[in-house]
Amino acid sequence: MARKILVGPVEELPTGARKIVDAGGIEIGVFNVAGAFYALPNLCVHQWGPLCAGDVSGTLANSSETDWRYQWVRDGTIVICPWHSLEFDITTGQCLAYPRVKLRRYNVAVEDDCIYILL
Amino acid sequence: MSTTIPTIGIRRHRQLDQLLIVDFDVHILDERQEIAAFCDPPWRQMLVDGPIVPPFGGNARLYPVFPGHWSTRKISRQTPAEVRAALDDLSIDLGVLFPERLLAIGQQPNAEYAMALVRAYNRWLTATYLQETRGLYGVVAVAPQDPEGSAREIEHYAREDRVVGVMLPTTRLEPLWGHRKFDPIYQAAEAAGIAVFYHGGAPVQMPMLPFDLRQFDTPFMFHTYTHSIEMMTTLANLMSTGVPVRFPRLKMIYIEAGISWVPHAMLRMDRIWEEDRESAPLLAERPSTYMRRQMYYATQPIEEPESLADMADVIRMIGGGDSVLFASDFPHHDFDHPKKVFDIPVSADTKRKIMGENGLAVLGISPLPASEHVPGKTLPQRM
Ligand code: FES
Repeated sequence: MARKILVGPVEELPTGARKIVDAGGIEIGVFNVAGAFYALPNLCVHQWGPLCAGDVSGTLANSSETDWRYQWVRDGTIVICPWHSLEFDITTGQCLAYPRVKLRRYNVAVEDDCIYILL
Repeated sequence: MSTTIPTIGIRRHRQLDQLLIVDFDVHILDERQEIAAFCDPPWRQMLVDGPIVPPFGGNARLYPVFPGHWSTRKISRQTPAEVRAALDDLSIDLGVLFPERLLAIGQQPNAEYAMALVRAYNRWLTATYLQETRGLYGVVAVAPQDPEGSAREIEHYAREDRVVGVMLPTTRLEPLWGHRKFDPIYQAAEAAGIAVFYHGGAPVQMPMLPFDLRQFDTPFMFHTYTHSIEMMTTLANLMSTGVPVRFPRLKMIYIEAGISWVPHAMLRMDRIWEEDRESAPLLAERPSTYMRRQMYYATQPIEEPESLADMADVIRMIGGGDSVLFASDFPHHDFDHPKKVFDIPVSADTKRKIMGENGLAVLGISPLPASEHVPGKTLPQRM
């Protein structure tokens, strides 16, 4: 049986907001990125920092298409670990530094204007 | 946006609770309003309502950084009880406290003001953080602008129980710490039987080594080398003027540059010594001999190779772990959780040494009374 953990009413989590909830011993961070909800473990794979408490931001990128010039990209979709600044894509759990590192993601559901994590 | 390093969310790791942990680098925030009441007139007035000048500011950022970058975060003041609680969460029994602002003391051109500031810091530290809770120790701040005055400061505090060393910041100073003008500081520290702590930092741009950042165009580039270059230039300078030879009982500790620079410095200096010994004739033995005999290296920021076993090799090259000391640098942006160092695959004995036993021996406070341990630890009885 999947467990449903109440995060809170939808209006508590507008675009750009995040909330960290205790899901019975594990902490989970729930984010609203452009109107969609995502949930990640609040435990960084690096040195076990509280990843979901970090700044939500974008990141710099450059490529041959821009003649290697910097561009600010993915604004609002990146969470930066408050301990040593590893960056993760909130929508996929992907670590930007290490392609093989991907955080697990939890399913999120909205029912009766409330957000739930499904475990 | 400015955030603080959140301490909530630190998880206790059970393995660490069976181990004594001594941390060689914990920072407290010595804001000018904090230390003003401890400062002599007329300088106190500067701290109360004067303009912000070094070491409290004037630290211009050179690089463009974007939102979320670590350099946009500030550390906030933590009371002694808050520092203690955070260290408890990290399983750290004993922490050696360092200032934040006074790391830049060398940048202040006025020697009298610099001396007044270090006096104020030392009074504040010993009257507050070193009094109010268990397991917090500290180092005397000194002013490179006034070696004689600094030596008196060391003599004054050396007998205090929880004063375990002298802080010598490796940024923003000229000349380097090997210069003969600093002999009074080394004399006082050696006579008092306390160690000197060379503490690295991010330097401001100055057109001189090791602080010349004019061609370092990104934080990635400067952060890669500033700290290790500071350590290596300071160390080579100390060898050059024979500080470890002239002060053979002085213990010297290098902080905040990781440890991978150490094998390089040993191997490199030994090789060059063979050819250029003549220009540093005080060195009766290979430089690495002094580096193993009376110098110690703090782990943070510990290097993180793909295979942690590589770090066991680095420790073996340094001399097998007797000279390596755990440091966290809490609460800075690049601090290390003790478990990261604990996980390096060395023998259980070497782990105990690095995490705490070496530290107690270096600080001369063995054994640590049980009342100073983190509550809830079950330390194996050792003779
Ligand atoms: S714990 Fe997250 S980056 Fe280190």
